[in-house]
Amino acid sequence: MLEQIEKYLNNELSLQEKQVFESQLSTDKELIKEFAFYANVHTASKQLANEKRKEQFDNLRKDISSRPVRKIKPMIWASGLAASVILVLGFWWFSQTATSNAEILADVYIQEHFENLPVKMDGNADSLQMGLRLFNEKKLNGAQKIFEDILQRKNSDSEATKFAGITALRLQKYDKAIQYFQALSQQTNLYANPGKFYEALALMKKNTTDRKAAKKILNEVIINNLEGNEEARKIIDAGY
Amino acid sequence: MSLFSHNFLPDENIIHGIIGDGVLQRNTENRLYEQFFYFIKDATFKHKLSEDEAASLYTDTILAFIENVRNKRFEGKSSVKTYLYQIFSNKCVDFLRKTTTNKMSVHEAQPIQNWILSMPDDAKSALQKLISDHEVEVLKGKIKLLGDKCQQMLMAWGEGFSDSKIADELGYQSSNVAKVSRLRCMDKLKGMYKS
Repeated sequence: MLEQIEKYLNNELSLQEKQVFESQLSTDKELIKEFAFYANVHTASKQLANEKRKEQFDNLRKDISSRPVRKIKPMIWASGLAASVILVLGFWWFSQTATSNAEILADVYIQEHFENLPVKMDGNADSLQMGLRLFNEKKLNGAQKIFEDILQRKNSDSEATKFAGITALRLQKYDKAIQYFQALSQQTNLYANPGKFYEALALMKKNTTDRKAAKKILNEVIINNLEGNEEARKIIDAGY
Repeated sequence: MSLFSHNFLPDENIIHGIIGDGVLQRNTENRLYEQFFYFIKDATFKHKLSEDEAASLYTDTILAFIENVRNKRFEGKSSVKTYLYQIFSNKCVDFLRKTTTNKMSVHEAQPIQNWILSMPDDAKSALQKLISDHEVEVLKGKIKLLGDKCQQMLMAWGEGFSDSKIADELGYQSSNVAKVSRLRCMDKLKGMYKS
């Protein structure tokens, strides 16, 4: 009888069989009881299955709850912090070192090229040569005065402009040096014009706030292949 | 946690696993349970439930979801997480309204309710008198007295597994053999029940 009930519920009876079964259900008390039994067993089985599964999930829950929580130990915190500090310091040191290297290159250039300026040995005592001699004798203020006097007379004198700028640089009058070098770079009649590169050197020596401007000019020197581009490239490559 | 865990199971794997073979199925269900385990903690804060209460409701949620997947009531219109959270939230709210979990599970989508609805009226009323929680409780006690194989078979059937799947899981030669064996178990149970 149970099999017949199951077939009915699973729609496995033909239409005629189904009609007969349903008419029996209305009259046959034993069939009703059997049907109720089938339904109750199904519910009971389902509930038991769920209870068993719940028990398994409860055990799983206990297992999950008893698992050690992966806390980050203080030592690990400390190590992490130390690593971060080292990383930051390392980056700072690297950037500082890079900057320092670039500045050393600039200083070396200034020492090599602006320590002694070329003086003509023909014995002429024109103003420019006098100024250069004074410069080489470390009489920088005197040399500066002479170069500026020349410029008073002839504003466009490229040599006087260049030496005036170099002298100002040596005197650590960077703003003044920048002005002379800017004036020099604007002169278009020169075969090789180091004005831009010298301006960048002066900006580098001035202070760090002009770092960006100095870098921009150095790149300009490199891109336009201007006088001093090899040195400019070395400074940029050194991390400036 | 799920997002960052290498154990995170994508939705399609959850669905595929639940309707899959026995081992895969249990494994998937357990991983599903673990995956959204944090719902329990969430409910203790949000609904002020005790951890045990929240855990019980969470288990019911997982079981309801599994059943819905097996019965194809989960259509995948939302993510598994959203769907589960919706069921779980509803259960928490119902619980707070003093609706017990047991009552809920009895009234939850029992196939028997659907069967009775489609019956002739006079048979329906006669049946409703014979189907009761009390009878179910008595039968549960009797089923526990059956042998392991019968218990496993009836529970698998109660969970909605087909005879074909029961045959595969319990090592019967065919679905027909499994069905005959199950009906014999029911006959045996009937004998115990009547006595």
